[in-house]
Amino acid sequence: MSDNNSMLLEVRDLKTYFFLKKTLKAVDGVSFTLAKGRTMALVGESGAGKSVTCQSILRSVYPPGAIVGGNILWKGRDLVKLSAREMRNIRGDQIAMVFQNPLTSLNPLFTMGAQLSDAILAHRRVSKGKAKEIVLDALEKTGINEPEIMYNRYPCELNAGTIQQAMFGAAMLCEPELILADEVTSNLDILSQAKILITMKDIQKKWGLAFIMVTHDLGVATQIADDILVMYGGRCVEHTSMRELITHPLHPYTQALIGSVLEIEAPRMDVIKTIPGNPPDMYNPPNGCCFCLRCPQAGEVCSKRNPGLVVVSENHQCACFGVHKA
Amino acid sequence: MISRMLLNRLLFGFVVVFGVITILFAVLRVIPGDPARVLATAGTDEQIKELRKTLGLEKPLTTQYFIFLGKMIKGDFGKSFYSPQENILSLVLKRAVTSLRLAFFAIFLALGIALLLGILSGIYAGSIFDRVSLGFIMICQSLPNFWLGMILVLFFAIKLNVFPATGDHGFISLILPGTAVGLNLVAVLTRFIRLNMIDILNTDYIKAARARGIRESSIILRYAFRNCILPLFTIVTVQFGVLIGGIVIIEFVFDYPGLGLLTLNAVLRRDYPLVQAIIMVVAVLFVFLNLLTDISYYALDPRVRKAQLSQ
Amino acid sequence: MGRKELAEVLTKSRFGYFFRSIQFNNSMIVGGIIILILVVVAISAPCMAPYDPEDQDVANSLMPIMSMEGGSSDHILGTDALGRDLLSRLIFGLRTSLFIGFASVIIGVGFGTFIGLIAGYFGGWIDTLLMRLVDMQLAFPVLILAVIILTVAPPSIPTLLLVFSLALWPVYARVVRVWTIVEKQAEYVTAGRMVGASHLRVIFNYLCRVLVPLVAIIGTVDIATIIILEAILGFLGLGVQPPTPSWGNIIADGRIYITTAWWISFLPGLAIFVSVFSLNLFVDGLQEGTKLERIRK
Repeated sequence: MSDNNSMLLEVRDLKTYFFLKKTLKAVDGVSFTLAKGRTMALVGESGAGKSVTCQSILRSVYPPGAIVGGNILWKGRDLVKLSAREMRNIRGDQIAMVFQNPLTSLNPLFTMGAQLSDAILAHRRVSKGKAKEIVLDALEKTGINEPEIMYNRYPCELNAGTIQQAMFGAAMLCEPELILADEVTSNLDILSQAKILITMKDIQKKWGLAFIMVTHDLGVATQIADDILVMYGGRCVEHTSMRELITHPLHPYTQALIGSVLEIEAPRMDVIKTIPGNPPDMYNPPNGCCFCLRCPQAGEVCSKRNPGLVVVSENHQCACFGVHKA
Repeated sequence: MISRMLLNRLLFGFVVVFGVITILFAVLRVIPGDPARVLATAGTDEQIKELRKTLGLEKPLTTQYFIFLGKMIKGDFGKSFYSPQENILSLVLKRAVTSLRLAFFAIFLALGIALLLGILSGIYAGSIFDRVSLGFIMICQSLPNFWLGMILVLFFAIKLNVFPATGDHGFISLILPGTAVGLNLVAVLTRFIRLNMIDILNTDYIKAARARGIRESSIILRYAFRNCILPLFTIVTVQFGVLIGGIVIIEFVFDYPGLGLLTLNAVLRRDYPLVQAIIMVVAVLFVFLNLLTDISYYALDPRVRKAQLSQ
Repeated sequence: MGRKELAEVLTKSRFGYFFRSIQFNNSMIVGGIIILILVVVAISAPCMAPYDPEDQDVANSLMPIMSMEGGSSDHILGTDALGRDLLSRLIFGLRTSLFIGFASVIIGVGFGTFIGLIAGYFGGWIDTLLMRLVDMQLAFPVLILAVIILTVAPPSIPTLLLVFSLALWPVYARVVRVWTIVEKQAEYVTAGRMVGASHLRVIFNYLCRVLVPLVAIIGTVDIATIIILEAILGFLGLGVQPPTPSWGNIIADGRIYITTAWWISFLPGLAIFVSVFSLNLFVDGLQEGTKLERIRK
């Protein structure tokens, strides 16, 4: 994390709550920075707040949810303060998002190509023909064979892997600088997964995009990310480079995550390591550290105060009293 | 491809019509007592003798059946008890057309209102507009349509003299009865469209389209609208059956010379040949309507096309 | 799933737990209160009605509502062509409508649920056969069927109940069948079978416990459907026969006087509206309170 001026995206203490019968604190104080051309993995359990963070960045949070605090600085401008129209200009154009389930990302009643052309026409004043050209070009860029034929296909005629590649193509259409990839490989088989990761790396190499890769799969994260942000219970618990995380995980949660990764070559285990307990109740998050109820190293202060993200060393932040003291 | 599906549906249609013919035949024979007597309780002895001959009640059952079948196919329904001089088939068809005009008017009126209210309440679900709209819908659902018909006649036709109270004088005669018939339909359709719209606006593909930066107005008018409209075909077809009940009673209230009124009178007066003819015509009509719906689905929904092709 | 969890699931499906988890909302309360008032009035009809509904008093015929010219406090809602007090007739008509509605729903919905359970649970040819029957009846407009039956058989209360039950059962058979097909694969059913429950026991003890509250809620709305259907048939002269008052036949009676003594036809319709509206309101509120919204046909 170098100096602030070259930061593409800077999130400061983002808070997004959902106001249902009780208030759900989905994102409760998340901060990180992302430089141009870097890939950051956003890792955590289901419900940790990863997807909501991405939706907040795109201001795609609708009632009963709302961003209640914090700043999202995109190239210096605070996205939280922009009007709806200004935000719409950024969505799809400068920041794009690819979703988890490719089969439901497209409207079943329209051809794939038509929907992608619509995405272009929303941002550029070009003719329909030119838009189609751009789409075909993007489809080719993401490695889809026979883009002409795929253009006229309906979603029900395509398989998940192809659609997901096309979704990356869609994301690329207006040449954005950041792509938010929300669990894009979670619904795919291993081969398709590999294809997508290769596509992503390709895109990044050629066009210098930044990625935020949301995933619950540490293995996938290690393949593709430069930096990693670990979330738990709506808060950040550790933020560092990928290499540093694997070699020196500081937060007990991260350590447990790494410990429970199943390796294909490891000796067969009698007991698969998991983290005992359940994810926190997001309607009533605990007062102190949100991980303290399951933490093997929990101390007295852990249940009383929330440890903030503290810089432990250059490039490594951690939110844990145990680490702070050390 | 499409021709195979058409063939399939047509075949099914024939089976249904065939089934109806068989039921018509069976029902009369199953009732205890002399079928001719049962039918023509109000007929003269002459008519009863004629009926016995027409029904061929002396012959063995299977022969009767095939004669009956033959007649149905040829469209020979015999003579009505109360107006023996008229050709039953042309009478029924003429009245059917009159009723269909009323039905379509009611459907279009109901659809128009339902789309407006339904889509808007779906988009602004939970808002005051939505609540008021739901309240209005509930009132529509709860009003007995024949009573409303009478009130409408009293007010608009008699007191204000704007619309005709009875009979068929062209388009203007459609308005009051059409409103009465369409009343309940509006409620059902609006509720459905509203729920559908709410669901659609929550789908991933709409969220993805928003994330691509497409304008909200475009999303609603192009994408969501089409997704919302599609299932309406089935709903309207299903509701058609309910609609028919409404048409019958409304035609009675407004003395509108349609098939409903004819059926009601025919049944009440036990004019069996007429009832039989009506049932046949309606059955064929239904089959045709179902076929139309299937074709429209095939044309409009790529998922249906895919499913058909893979068969 | 062990025996303990199985027992838990079954107890949780009992009425008590179910009703404890209802969240009250406005529609439910308002609708419920009106229904309660109507039921009380219906039950205590002989006490509440100022006159005998069949008491004729031709001298005072066609009296308007009390607040209008010519009205009097003797007959608050006026009288009909034969001088019978309208208010009393309406109250007794309420009694008839509610009774018929309730009874028809119990019979029709009960029967339909039973058929749906059997068809859905056993599948195979039983399912196909039963569903074909359902389809055949559904294709035929209810009103015509009712009219035909009531023309052939005289309109007595049992016949009417039969007709209305016939009107209701197919839809329930269909819906319950679909529900059963899905539900019979649920864990608690499999667990029950493994513990040795016979098919009969599974159907009546397990599935029914969960099903009955659902059906009861949805079925309540059809009381309104029957009230309207009964009014239509009464209007056509095929329902409850005069001189017994039913809202339908009162409206029919008033039809010829519509331009002069409009209240005879107007008031019963209003009564129908209030009953149906409150029922719809109540059930809507109930559906929201128990989050059952999507189960509707």
